[in-house]
Amino acid sequence: MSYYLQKVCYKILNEYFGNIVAKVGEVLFQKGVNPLRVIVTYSKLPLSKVSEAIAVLVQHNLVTWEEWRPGIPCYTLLHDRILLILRFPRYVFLVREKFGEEEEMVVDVLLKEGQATASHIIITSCVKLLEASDNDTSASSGSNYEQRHITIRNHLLKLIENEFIQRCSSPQDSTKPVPVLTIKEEDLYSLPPELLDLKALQQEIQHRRTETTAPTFIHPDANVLWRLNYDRFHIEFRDSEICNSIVRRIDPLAGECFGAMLKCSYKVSDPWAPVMNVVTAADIRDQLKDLKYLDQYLKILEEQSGDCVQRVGDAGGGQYRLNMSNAFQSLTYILIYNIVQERFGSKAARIFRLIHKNQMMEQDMIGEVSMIGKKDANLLSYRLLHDNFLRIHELRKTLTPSPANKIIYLFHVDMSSVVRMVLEWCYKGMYNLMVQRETIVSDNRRLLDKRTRVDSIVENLKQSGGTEEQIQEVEEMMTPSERALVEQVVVKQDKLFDSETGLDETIFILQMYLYYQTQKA
Amino acid sequence: MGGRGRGGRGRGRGMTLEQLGVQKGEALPERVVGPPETYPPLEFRPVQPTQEKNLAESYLLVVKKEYREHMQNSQYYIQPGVKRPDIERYSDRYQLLASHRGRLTLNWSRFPKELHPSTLSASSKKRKACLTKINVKKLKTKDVNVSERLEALEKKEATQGVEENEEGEDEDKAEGETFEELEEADEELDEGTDYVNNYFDNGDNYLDEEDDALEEGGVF
Repeated sequence: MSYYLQKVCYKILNEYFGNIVAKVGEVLFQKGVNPLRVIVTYSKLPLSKVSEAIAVLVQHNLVTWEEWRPGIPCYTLLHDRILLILRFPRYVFLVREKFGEEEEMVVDVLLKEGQATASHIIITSCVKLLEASDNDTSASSGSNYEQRHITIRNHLLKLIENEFIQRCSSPQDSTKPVPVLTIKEEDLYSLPPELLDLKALQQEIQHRRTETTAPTFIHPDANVLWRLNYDRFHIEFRDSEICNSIVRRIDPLAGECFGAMLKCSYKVSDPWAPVMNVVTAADIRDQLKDLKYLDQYLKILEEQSGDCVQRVGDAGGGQYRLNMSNAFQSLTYILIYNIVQERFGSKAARIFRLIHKNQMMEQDMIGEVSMIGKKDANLLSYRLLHDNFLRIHELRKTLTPSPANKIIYLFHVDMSSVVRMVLEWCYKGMYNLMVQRETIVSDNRRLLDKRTRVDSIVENLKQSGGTEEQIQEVEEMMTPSERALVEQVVVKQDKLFDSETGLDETIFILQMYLYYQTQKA
Repeated sequence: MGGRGRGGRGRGRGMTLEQLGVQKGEALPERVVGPPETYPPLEFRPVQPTQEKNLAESYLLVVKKEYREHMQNSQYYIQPGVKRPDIERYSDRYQLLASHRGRLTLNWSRFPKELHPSTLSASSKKRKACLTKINVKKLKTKDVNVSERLEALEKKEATQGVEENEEGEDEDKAEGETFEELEEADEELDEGTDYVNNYFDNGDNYLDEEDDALEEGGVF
C-alpha cells in the first residue's frame, strides 16, 4: 500500500516472529495475493521454512487464504493487523482496568497464542496465576485452588458475552485440501457448557503444577478456537478518547453524563454507526440516577462538544443524538493544528486555523485578518504550501492573457489529504523509532550480554547458597562505569518503547477519522 | 472549471513577483539549490516526552517488554535452519543448535494441506534417502579400514617375537596396505600442509639424467 507501511510491517514481524516470517510478510505485502510456490520463488527461502512462516501468520490472524485454483490456495496479508501488534499492551491494560487481573491473564494468554481453545486458555491462565500466587507468599492458601478453573471459566464467559473474545471460523469439511472457513452468526459469541470438561481441566492443571512431563489429556473442544475481537477494543478506545476530551474541555461530571449517554445509545444503535440513534433526556436521567445539574450539563455538551452531541427534538425532556464522526473530526482537526504549531510555529498555526475555518482565503486577506505582517504571512503560507498543508486554487476572470486580468489565488486546506500525509509521517516515525532502538541495542550488545550473564551467575549463587564474598567478586566483574552505561542504554530503550506506544495513539485517532470519512462517502 | 485555470490557449504570465507580495528590491529569502537534505535542520525543538510517567504508561511498558520476550522465545519465532559448516570446528560442540525448538504444534486440520509439515518431511526424506545411501557406503569402507588395522595390531601384539620375520613381512605388507589406505585418508585430512606436496624439484636427479639426455637426442 504505502512504502513506509511496508517497512514498518517488516520491522514488526522481524522483531516478534523472526527474520524468515518478516521476509515472507514482505513478499506478501509487495506482490499481493499469491500461492505458496510463487512466494517461495520470490523470497528465495526453502519451502519448509516458508510454509512454517505462513502457518505462524495464519495462527496469529495475519494471513487468510482462499481457493485460487482447485486444490491450491492463495494467501493474503492483512497488513492493518500487523500494526495492531503494537497496540496489544493497551488491550491488556484496558481489560485490567475494566475487569480485573484474572481476565487480564486470560487476554494475555490469548494474545500470545493468536488462536487457542477454551480449555487451553483456562489451563494456562490457571497455572500462571497459581505460580504467581506461589511466588507471592502472602497470598491466600489453596482453599480456592480447587475452584480456580471455574472462576477462570466464568471470566472467560464474561469476556465472550461482552464480545471481547470471539470464536474463530472453522473448516466445514476437513478432507478438502483447501479448507473453507465459515462460522454461523449465532455461534460467534457463544460458549456452550458441554464443550468444557471441567474435571479433565482440573486434572490437567494439577498435573502441570506437580509433574514436568507433558500431559496427554484430551479435551472435547479441541476444534473450537477463540481469538480476540479487535474491533470491540477499538470501540472502547474510541469512547474513552472522546470522554477524555470532554472531561478536559468541560468537567468530570460532564464526562459522566456523556458516558451515560453512550450507554443509552448503544442499546438502540450499532456502535460503529457514524450517527447514533436518538436518546431522550429521560433515559439519561434514569441511567445516571439523579445527577444535579443534568439539564445544564446537557446544554453545555450540546454547545461545546464540537458538534458531537446534537439536540434533535424536545420530546421526553429533550432528544439528543451522538455524532461520532463529528467528534473525531474535531479531535483530528485539533491534532493537526498542534502538529502545524510544533513544526512551523504559532503564527503559521494561526494562519492554518484561519484558512481552515474560512475554507478559502485570498492571499492578501490572510495577512490582514490574521494580524501578522503581510510579508511574514506570505512567507509562512508559502512554506505551508510547499509542505502540502495548504493548496492553491487559481481563479481567472477571463481567459485572455492581457495584463488587466487579475488572477486571484485562493488558499485552501484539503483535510483528508493532510491527514493521510500525517499518517504516512507516523508510519515513518514508527519505523525510525524501531531502527533507532535496534541500533542502540546492537551497538551495546556486548555490555548488555555481560550484564545478563553477571546477573544470572549472581542468581545461581544466591539460590545455591554462595557466600557474600563470592557474590561480591562476581558483581565486581562489572565496573561502575559499565553499569552506568548499561543503565543509560536501558533508559534510552525504554524511552523509545514509550514513544512507540504514544505514536500508536496518534495513529489510532487518524485511522478513526479516515474510517468515518469513508463511511460518509 | 478545472481546465480553465491551467491549460487552454493563452496562459497568463503566472505569478509575478508583485503578485507574490514582494515589493521590488526587497530582500528575498535564500534560494534553495539542490535536492532537500535528508536531515533538514529543525526550526523548533520538538516536544520532549514527559519526565514523570504515570502508572498506566509504566505498566504498558512492562507488558510490551514481556510480550516481546515471550514471542521471541516461543515456538512462533521461526529461526533459519542449521547450516552445515564447511569445516568442522571445535566450537560447534558448544553452540546451541537452532533446531532445538522442534516442530510447530498447531491444529493442522484448520490449515490448507500444503502447509502441513508431515507431507514435507515425506518428500525430503525421499531425497535424503538417496544421499544417505551413498554416505553409508563411504562409511562402511572407512570402517573396514579401521577394523582391519585393529586386527592387524592385535595380531602383532599376539605374535611378538615368535614368527617375526615371515609374518612380520606379511604384516608389514598388510600394514603397508592399510597404512597406504590410511595415508590416503590422512592425506585427505592433511590437505592444507605443504610438506606433503612436492612443489619443486630439489635438483637431486639433475646430474643423473644428464648422461641419458645426450644419448636419446631430441624428444618430439
